Amino acid sequence: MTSSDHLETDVLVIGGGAAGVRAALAAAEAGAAVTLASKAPIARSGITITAGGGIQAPFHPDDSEQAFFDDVVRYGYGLADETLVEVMVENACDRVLDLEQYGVEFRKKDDGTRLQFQMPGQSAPRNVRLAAEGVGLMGGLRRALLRSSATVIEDFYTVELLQANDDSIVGASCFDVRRGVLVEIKAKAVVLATGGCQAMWSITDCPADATGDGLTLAYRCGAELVDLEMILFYPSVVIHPPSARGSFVHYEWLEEWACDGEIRDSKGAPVLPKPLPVRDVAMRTMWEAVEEGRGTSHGGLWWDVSQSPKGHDAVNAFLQGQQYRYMRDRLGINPTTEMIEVAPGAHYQLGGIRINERAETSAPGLYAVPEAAGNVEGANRLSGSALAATQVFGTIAGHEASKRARRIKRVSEPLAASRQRATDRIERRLESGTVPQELPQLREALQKAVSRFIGVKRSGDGLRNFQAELDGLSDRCRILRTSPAGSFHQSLVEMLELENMLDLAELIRRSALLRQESRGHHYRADFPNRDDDTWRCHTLVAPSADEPRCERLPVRRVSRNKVGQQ
Amino acid sequence: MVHRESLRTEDTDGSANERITIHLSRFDPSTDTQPRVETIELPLDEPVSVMVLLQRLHAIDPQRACRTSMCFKGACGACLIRVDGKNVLGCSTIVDPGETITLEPHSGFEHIRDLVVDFSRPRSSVEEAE
Repeated sequence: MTSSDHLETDVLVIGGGAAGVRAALAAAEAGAAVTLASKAPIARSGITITAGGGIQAPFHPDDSEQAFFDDVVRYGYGLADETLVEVMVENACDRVLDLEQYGVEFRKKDDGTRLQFQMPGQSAPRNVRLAAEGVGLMGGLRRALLRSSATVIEDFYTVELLQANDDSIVGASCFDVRRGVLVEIKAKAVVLATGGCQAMWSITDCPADATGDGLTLAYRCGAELVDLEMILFYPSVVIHPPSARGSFVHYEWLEEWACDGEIRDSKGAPVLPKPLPVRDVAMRTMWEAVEEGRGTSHGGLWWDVSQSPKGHDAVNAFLQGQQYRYMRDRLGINPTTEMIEVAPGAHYQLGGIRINERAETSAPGLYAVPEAAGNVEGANRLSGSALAATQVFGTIAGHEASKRARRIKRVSEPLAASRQRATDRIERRLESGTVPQELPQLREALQKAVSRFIGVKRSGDGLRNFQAELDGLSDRCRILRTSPAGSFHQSLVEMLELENMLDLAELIRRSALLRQESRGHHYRADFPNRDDDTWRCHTLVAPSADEPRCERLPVRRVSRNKVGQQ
Repeated sequence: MVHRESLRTEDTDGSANERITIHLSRFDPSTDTQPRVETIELPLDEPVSVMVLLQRLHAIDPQRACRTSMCFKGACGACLIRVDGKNVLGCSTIVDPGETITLEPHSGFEHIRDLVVDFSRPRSSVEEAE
């Protein structure tokens, strides 16, 4: 299948979550012609809509940019890229003000000031709260996008980036899912805002479209990826019943100031200490309790606020967030009075495409925004950093991409080989009369293997065995075929996603094998201790002639880090 | 046409002989002139949301097109669908073992394929979603 349609734009943004929409708005406001391509409908897909609705921003009188910086660096356990953290802390408040301008609503106190919560690891109340959580954020951003000059194309799945002979990125080949045709979009600059790869794990609170496509797109064009082994596992993702699976309940709300509840084992004994530990410690403590045989029949633990000394009414008044109302009113599960079955699940991709403070990747003309971009927080992240990073770096990526577009007179012609890659990836899947019966089984087998070998607990032996499993799954994936392209060819997209996830799993495996220590969300049973002498650095994977180049990369520091804290 | 499809459910305690019957609207604009109905029986031993049923139907045959995104909060509208003649949120509509249900595309938007609609093209003068 060759491209049947050709579009041209200054800035192509790939991804329609909070990061992509913010990047498109910034580039359009700077005067660039912008096209945003999203693989599914904006505000009805992606990871942002699942967000709990906190954004770290140091508005509070007891807070400061320095305190925000110190907290993020401290709980990134030495792996936060301080040049990026500095940019985040200096711009977060302005980006929240932008959101208010776009019409996004925040929760206010009776006196009209912004309500701010102090979450674990924060030295002052810092999370502003979105009135309608991630869905409300996307609703406001989407309306602003539709008012802007940007062209929005939905159900467009990016198959490959286009590269010119000077290696610069000059657009993308996208599969128009609704029409079943390949469309070539040439652009002077491309922004990847494709999100994380959490759908690779069996337990996750992210939707099925979190397949990390942008990482493999960037990697295939020579971009460097960092800290891929750092996947944040949220402590309390709902695992049962099936209708509630994938939702999450806040482990933070078990704090004394909130609902004063407990994580309990199958016998009712509390599992977590108070005050609650930050996320990586909490989830590992819970994982170990299940491993010790203290878990439920589905391999989880009980999140329980039903016995809170605060009493039913106070707890119920607190649990009015969307997922609590959804469970109570729609699913008939009352989180105020019933215990909820939870386990640690993949929640956030800390690593990703390596960027600098201008959101540039190592491929010229290619920009990336968290969570597709990866070296901001390090080995753990505090509540509220993810949405802050989408807005801060989305804005920067949009500005920088529009600046590049102004510098470039004409888009270079994509290399024929670069066009051919997209055509080949699609054509090898299409064969008349074939049905993709094994696709869902393969996806599930990948999730099981990923959860087992690069889940909460890893080991050198396991990671080496994982390679053979991945090779076997890749062999089975290679022979998958689907029917010729037609309208809304979902199974073809899912095959391309599976291919990307298999490639990415291998890169995560290599990164996890390289880091011979335990830090943050990366736990190696064979190297259980943190080793600052050797490993206070990023892991890096980049393509090279034979096999991926895997090496250590120094963490960039700034003078703001006065105490040299880790 | 009735398919009997065996499917693992999450509780395999051996007692799972309850079922649900689904009349599923199928439509491929490249081969069909109008929607047709596929009738499927699935094992079901506990109440589940329509969204969970869709995931299972799509996992058995990936060519059954349906949107699979969701916010897990009943708020985003990715799962808008028509169940037994009523436009609803699939994630918030619970079905019980033993029931027979009809699944069709949401009538408020232009139809693309099977249960997939184009949210950017609302149809005029249709009943509001729940």
